[in-house]
Amino acid sequence: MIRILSMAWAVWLEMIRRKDLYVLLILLLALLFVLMSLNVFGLGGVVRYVADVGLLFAWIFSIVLSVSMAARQLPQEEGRGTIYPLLAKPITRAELILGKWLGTWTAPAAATLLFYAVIFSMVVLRGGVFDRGCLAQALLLHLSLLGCVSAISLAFSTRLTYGAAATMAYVFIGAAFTITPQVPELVVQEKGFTVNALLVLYYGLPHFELFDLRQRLVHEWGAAPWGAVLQVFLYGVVWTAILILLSWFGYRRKRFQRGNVG
Amino acid sequence: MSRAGFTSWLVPLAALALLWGVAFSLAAQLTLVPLNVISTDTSVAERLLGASRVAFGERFFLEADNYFHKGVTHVHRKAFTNDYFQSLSEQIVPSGHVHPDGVEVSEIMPWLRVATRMDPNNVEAYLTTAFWLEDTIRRPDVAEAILREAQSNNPKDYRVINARARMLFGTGEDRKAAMLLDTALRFWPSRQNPEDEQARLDLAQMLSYRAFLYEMDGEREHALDLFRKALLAIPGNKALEERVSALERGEDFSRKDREAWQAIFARHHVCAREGDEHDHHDEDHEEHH
Repeated sequence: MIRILSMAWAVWLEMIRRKDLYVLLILLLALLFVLMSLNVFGLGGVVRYVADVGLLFAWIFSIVLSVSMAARQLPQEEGRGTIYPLLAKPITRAELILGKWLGTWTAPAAATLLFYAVIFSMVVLRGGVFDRGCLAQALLLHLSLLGCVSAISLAFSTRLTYGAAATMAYVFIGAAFTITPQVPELVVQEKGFTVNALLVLYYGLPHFELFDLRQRLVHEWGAAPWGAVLQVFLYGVVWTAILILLSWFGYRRKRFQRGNVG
Repeated sequence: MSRAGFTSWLVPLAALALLWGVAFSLAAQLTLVPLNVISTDTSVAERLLGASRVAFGERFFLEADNYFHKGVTHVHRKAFTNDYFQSLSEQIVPSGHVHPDGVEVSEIMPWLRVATRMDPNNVEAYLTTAFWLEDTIRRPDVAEAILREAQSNNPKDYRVINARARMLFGTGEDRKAAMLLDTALRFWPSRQNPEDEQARLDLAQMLSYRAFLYEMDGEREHALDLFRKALLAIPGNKALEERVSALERGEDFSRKDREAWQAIFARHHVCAREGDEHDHHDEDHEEHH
């Protein structure tokens, strides 16, 4: 366990050393200040669009951060050759995968908490209100999704270069967000093989739309039933476990070549 | 990929996000610059997005509609509705047909503003903005400014001119209303299908209002002629039939008629999702024609 935590801590240190998080945070702040400065028709008190757009960017930034960090870890170690001394230590490949996943999940998760804190501070400053129970649920599911995103990127990076792994991860995540929830509607217009292909996508890809409570939070619908939220959370945990297992399968017997820069 | 590689795409992403923020802010500002000056220039949205701004405008107009339904998106026909994921989604994602309470409708304004900025020819977005500003938010001054901007960008669209005329009719500025109605009638049906039910209703309303204003000026023959034309546009309308009969009998008008005509052709918000189950939080606003 200590070895896994050490590996995760190294990922944290890397995030702090690199400037990605600061850039994203500054961008978010700039965007929020621009949105806050608007006074549409002099109406005042209009605040939902600030929370909505802010949360949209928090989602985008957290996913970008998660994918870029997770997809980079293994190819970077291999490219620099640091994988050899790392694996020479008493550490198994499963521990390596788990440590990398833990780091690339918790670091973007912490960044996400920061993004939420900034957004909702601004919303409250502008006179907005939000349901705390719903906020807790939204955060829980957002963080759960980041675990999946990190695991997806890590799984691709076990066999692909950083660029390819990141691209594949974005395609996978994009499809899970946009195509999967549309399948029941798309099937209406299709026949034969296309229907089967769409159903394979529907049941084969994760349903990331279930993790998105932004509309509920922004439009003050209040907290969702906790039973349903916990089911979605567990669904995320299962997907993450499957993807980490796939990562381990992809990495446990991998042979390395020096100079194979990711 | 190396750190330099990562930074190389992070910078464009950062620039894109900032540009989006700037575009949003520019689009949502109600400018104090005279509108006729703006209309002759190429808009910022047009310069940045070209023709794709129309699609963006539609998207933002749709977003305003989603906000009007408190984040509930349009429901389309589905091949199956009873699987595990959909039952979970039903519990988590907001659903139902709900409208905002009173001035809560202000929340849709940023998206409508961006929609009109993105596509200044989106007359529906302009009319929707003006309607809510005047009707629920109680800011007729801003509604008038928006309609002036709409007219500047769509000078030959009868719907905008008519909307301005109706506002003036409602406030008793009859001379200006009459001039605008004459102009709107000349431009009817603009780009609308003349057989379209709404277009014909608009025509009947414009003719009736103008006829009423003729009555007020004592020009009964003109008024009768226009009321007959209005009746041709919407045959069988009881109020118009009675008015025509009354005029033919030589009856005099009453000032109460103004209220009557406003009630007959009352403007209403037409919810695109009518037919779905409703849970109106605000029953003050009128629904439908």
